Amino acid sequence: MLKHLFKLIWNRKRQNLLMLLEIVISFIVMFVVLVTVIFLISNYLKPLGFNYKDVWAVNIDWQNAEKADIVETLKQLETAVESFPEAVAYSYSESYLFTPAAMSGIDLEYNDREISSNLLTGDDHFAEVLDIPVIEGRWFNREDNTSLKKPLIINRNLEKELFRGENGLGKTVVSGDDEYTIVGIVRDIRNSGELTRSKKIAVKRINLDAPVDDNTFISENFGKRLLIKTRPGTDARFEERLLKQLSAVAKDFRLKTIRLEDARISANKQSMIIPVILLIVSGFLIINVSLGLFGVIWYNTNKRRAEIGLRRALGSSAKGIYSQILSEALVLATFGITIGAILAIQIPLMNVLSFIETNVYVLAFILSILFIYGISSICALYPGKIAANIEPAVALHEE
Amino acid sequence: MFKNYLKIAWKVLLRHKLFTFISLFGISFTLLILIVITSFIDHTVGRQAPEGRQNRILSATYFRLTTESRGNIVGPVVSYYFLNRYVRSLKTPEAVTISSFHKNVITYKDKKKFNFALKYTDGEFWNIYDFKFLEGKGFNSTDVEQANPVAVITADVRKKYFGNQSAVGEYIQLGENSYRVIGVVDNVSLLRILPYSDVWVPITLSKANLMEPKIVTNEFPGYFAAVLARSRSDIPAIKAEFRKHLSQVEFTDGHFNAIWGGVERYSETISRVFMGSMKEPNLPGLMLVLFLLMLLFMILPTINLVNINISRIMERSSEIGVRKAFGASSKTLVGQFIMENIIITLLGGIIAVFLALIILSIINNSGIIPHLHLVMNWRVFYKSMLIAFFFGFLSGVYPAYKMSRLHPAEVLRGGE
Repeated sequence: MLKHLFKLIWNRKRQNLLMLLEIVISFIVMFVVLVTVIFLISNYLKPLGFNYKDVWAVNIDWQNAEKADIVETLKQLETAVESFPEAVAYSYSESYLFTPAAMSGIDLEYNDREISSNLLTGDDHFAEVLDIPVIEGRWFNREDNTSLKKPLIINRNLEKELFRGENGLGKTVVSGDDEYTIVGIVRDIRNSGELTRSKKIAVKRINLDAPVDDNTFISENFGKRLLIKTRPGTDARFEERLLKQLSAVAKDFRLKTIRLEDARISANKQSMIIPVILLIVSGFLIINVSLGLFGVIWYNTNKRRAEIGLRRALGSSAKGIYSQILSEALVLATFGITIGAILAIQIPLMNVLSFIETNVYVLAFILSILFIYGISSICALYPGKIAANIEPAVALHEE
Repeated sequence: MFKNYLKIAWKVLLRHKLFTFISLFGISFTLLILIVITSFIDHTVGRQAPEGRQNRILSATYFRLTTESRGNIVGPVVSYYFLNRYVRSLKTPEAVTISSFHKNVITYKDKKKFNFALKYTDGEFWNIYDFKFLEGKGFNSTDVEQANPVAVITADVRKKYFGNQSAVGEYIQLGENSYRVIGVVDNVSLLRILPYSDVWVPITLSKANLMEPKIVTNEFPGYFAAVLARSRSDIPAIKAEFRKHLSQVEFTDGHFNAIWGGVERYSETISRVFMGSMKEPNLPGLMLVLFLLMLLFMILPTINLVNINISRIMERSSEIGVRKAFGASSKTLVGQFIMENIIITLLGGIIAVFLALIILSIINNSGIIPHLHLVMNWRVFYKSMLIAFFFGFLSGVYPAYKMSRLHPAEVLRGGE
């Protein structure tokens, strides 16, 4: 039976070639779309690595103030925050939280291996404010004031790449002229938001008490913020009072507040723009292709009235004709999927997008195959039904 | 003859309504998406106010600086001092402006909160960009030198802040400063990133220490320079003059030792960012990538249309057989079929234009991008029709070729 179907398709290979091409390309399009969607969903399901609830960020722009004054004012801001009963903990940081487009990086060297990583910064209370679990070692604390090498905290991803399976805790890495000791390891801090992938993360320490001249926190004026963890249930009235009081303390600074929960919503929206456009465009392409396949199968079936009439006259049942049309479409889809699969599998094999895990590809692969089979059979349903209803006498008479 | 073709095309369209629907659906949606993209590109880089003299405007915006120990920075990072020293000193251009990018300021009036974009700029800015003034005028060099607290605002700010009444002579409070409004201009789209803002004030009013001798600035939001060439033919000379200036940069900020960038068209800067890791502009490369992406997107609808067309044409094999038997040449038949196909694609193109008008107004009103005003102008329209024509031709050639190979005797006998 199957052999017979292959023969039928092979005999009309010229006519089927274009349909085949359409199926191949549709398969690849579907595969790319599904990889994107599944990748986003799998990101969303992974732990974020920190807790954004009830945290407010005060963005600080100190314009052209003198360095010594800046440190002084930053310390006054701390005192001002402490006077609020709602504030549970606070921390200075330069980390971009929920801003997918912005990032800063650091190149780390260990045993002649050089790895580029994303860079976050935070002071001794950063982990407390954002509820970051430290799985090995410890977070920054006062001990680091006296150590010769600078302290660094990294996440599991970076540990794996930098130390290739060895335990990274306590090891020394080099970046430019600086040497760092790994004092702690965290599982992850996905600061760009839930929809973004898990990256390599290194966290540098901020220490306001360091001598003013080599204090990295105040030497550059990019993305400084004060993170404040509040009691659950704190609302926008706190924000208003906070901003008023802090602005009174830091008269020369420009301050802006944002609730991390709001930042998260807009970050997720930003991460969704490209996938949504991709979905709309590919959705249209797939509708287009299905309509086309339907039209062509219908037309081809109509042209084969004589053949079908003959089959009926020779004893084939209506059901048999129906399943023949359907299985022809499925066999064609199988050809298309096979070629499409050989092409599509190059994407994971070339390993250009190494951050996408194998099971994302596998799932996308299986779903694309099912999807193409589904579309092909839906497109063949109606033509198949028409073919099944052909009266042998009428069809043969026409001939 | 042509009228005859039209008649046949129309009859063929009506004969198989399902096929016609499938074809038109595919054509119009493919073109719809291409039209929206065209409109977007036209809105971003096309010639329109305030960039009406766009073919004479060059800008210095993004730079790449590298340090000895592998670090580098890219973006609007150079200082006012740098632009003043190396761009303002250019002799070939007619005018040079140095402005900041915009930043957002929050202001309150009558307990209402407003978020306006603020740009610091100079007097030349108003000569280089041809803003449409609804009231008053821009500030001049004297205002900038004397640091007069004056401001130009958009119609949108006037509507929100002054309740749509005449605003010239009134005062607007931004932060701790109050500015006297001296001009009101049309709204500018955010995609016109260089002239864009809601409020423009003299650059001397910025708190920044403009003349601090540093190449790189950490001040947000950074500065750019725009120059107006006397004529288009001066552009290569301006670029060359700046290249010479750039090669003479003195690195005073210690750790930086190389700089890349240019006084060039904004699209060239974009191509630098995307194609050449900032080192050289590569506009043809960027155009090629965009064109290939467009082809990639069109390939599926095209194959689909070819497929439908072949079915359509094979159905007419007896007509073709008869015409061939009566002496019509293959060439005539191919011409006729391509013609028919172009007619149907243009029909799809017209539907697409109407759909695009709806989609564009939805995008404009959604407020994703402030003051976005995507329009269907003649430029976009004729480009869309060109794309439709190309699409029709592409999808008509193969079926027509197949048709021309039909053998009349075979066809008339009823075979294939």
